Amino acid sequence: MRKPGSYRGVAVAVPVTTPRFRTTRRTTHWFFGKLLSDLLRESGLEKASIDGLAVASYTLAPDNAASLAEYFDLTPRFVLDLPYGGAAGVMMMSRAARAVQSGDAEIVACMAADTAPSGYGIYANFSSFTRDHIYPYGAGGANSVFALITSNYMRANGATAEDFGQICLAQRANGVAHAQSMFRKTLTMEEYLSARLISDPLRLYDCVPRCCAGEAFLVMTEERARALKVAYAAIGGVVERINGFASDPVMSQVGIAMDRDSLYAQAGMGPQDMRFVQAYDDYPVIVMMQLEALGFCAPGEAPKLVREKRMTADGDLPLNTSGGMLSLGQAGAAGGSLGMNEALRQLTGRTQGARVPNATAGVVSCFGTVNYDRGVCSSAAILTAGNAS
Amino acid sequence: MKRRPDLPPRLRGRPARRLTSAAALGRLELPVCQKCGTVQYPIREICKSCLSDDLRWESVAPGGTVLSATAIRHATDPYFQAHRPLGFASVRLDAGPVVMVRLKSGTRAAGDRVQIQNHLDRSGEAVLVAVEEETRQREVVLPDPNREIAGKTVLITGADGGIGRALVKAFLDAGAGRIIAATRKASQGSGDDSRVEHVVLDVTNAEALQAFAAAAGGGIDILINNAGVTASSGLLDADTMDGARREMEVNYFGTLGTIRALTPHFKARRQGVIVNVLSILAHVCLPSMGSYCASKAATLSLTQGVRAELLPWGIRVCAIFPSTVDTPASADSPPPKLSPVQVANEVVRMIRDGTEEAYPGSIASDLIAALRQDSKTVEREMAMALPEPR
Repeated sequence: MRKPGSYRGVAVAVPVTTPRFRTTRRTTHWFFGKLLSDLLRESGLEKASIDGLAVASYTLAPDNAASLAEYFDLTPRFVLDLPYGGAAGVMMMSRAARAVQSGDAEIVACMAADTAPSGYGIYANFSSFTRDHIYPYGAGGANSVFALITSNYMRANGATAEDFGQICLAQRANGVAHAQSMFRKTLTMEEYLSARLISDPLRLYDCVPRCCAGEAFLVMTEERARALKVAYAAIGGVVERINGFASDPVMSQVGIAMDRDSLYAQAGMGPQDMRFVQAYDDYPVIVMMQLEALGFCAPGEAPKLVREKRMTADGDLPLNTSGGMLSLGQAGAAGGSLGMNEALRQLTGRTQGARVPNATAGVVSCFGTVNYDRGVCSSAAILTAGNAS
Repeated sequence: MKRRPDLPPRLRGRPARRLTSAAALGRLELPVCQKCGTVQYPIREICKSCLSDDLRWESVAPGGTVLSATAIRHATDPYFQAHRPLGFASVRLDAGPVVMVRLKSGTRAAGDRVQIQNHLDRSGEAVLVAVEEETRQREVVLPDPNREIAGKTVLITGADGGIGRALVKAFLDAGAGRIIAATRKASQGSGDDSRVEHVVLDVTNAEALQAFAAAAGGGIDILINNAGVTASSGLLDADTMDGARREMEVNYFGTLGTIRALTPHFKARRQGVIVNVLSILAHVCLPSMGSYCASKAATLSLTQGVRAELLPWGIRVCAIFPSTVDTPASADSPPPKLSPVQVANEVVRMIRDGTEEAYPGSIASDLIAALRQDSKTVEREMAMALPEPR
């Protein structure tokens, strides 16, 4: 396999986030509009300078990136729709980066937003396999599929409920410092373990709460970022794996476990150089699999890892330092950009909550698209501090 | 989109609907690649392994091993909310693929051996269920009043005929609470079980049907449309059309009229079962009794139509397609003949098994298989049964 080319010269900058709502009567377009105007205000760019548009959303349908171009009277020369939910954050960034490197676009707005639709249509019809073989069994949404995955992981690796609780507690502790957190109080292990069962063995605080929000950032050349005087991060390396480990009867690892060496080789770094981990966290079992895939421990060893490490922002393995989706909520396809934006904020020193000391490099891991019995898409990127503005 | 809480979701893609077709006959069938042998699940039109489009639906071995199981305690869909906790598991089939299945909550854990069955749910769509490996029963996992017979009230029309008498006995044996044995003329049915009530009901008389339904319709759970006549003549060789008209009047309009009279009561309770006693000749014309076949073909079409109209009301519509049955009405037909008891037992089984169609005996099941493969060949074979014109 050919090695991926370097992402040298690319800047990722201007993380913006909309207000978060449990429910809303606003359309998804409203969230995209807020994101776009915030991107322009924060960067000082004119609307006409946005010549690339990458979009991730479920509830934007039947509209798409081109629809948004007309809606906002933009004239991009590069559009991209990536309806890959939790995996879309890194996927938008890497594709936008290649477009910028090759000159197909100069400034790409990468935007993800979703509202929480009423009713059950989005769960019933999420994919054809879900519609035909999951939803008719009462498994609306991903809870029950992840219950099967969690239960299997516990049997295979000796993980206990307390181990998953360690992740939830640490993230909640990070989250209470964040203005947008849904929870103002820390979580105790007793509260975690005594919460009601949602789908055995998953309890309430294992399951990500839904919300309505948007996340966006800009991808451009470092040259352009410096001229704009915006703080930015550089891309050390990117990997992506779709439908990895398909022959595992129950999902036991995330796809990018196949690509760990490539990720670190691209960046010339190792796991020990990562000052933080932003890992997709719709359920704690998936966080464990990402920690294993990213080389923080051997496969199946994450339960031991989370018992030994402190995962708060000031700890020795800072994890989901904004509090993650488990604290801030999952805004559909924008959930995959939460970790991206938190990484950008840590690296540019503009955090909204807890701050990781000395955050010079970190890893963002994304995961999503539960097409049938597992998440099909996974992606990860190493980001490094670009400049200080 | 709002749905009532008593029915599960009906949405399926077209390829997956073929699973429903197998469930209607109580079979576990999956697409099997004819090139590489891979058994496909989830349902696809292209082999996941070799990408061939040459997939054929075949019976697969029902054995499997539970990989992981959960109890769903929170559901957004109103039907599932009403039936929590829902057992849900992934199972590795011995035949290869991993399937997601329903099971009785808490009954199975990882590593347990199970048998996978393909059932119609309350909306008439396929769901796979995991049951005890050795069982020969088709297990009801979520409650379905339309699969119960014990204590139920059953209306059987044409109850004095050969199949009718056997139906009365079969439902008594199955534990029915009350049987209304309807006949055109006053008759004394066999036996004197106190659960059997004899009524005179001419299914071709609309007013009589209305009066009967007004008096007794509210208590009826299961309707067996069994009344039927045959003129035993060809479409052209009969001197008049009187026989053909009579067949349509009883077999088609009688069935339609009885269903129309009773469905308001079924709809009010959002449950009920209708079984139409048809004939394998509903699917192909035997010219020596062509007008009878036409009336049964019309009633088959009726069956499909009322099924569609009644599914959203939680009402099941089933049909049985026997070959010649050994009754006084078919005394002139040549053997082999099915016993009426076999037909009646098959009706009871269909209700309990949750299937939608039954083809009792090998003649009917061979014929329907042949018709599905190549209807023209069967049509010509039937034509050959007519004597040469003199």
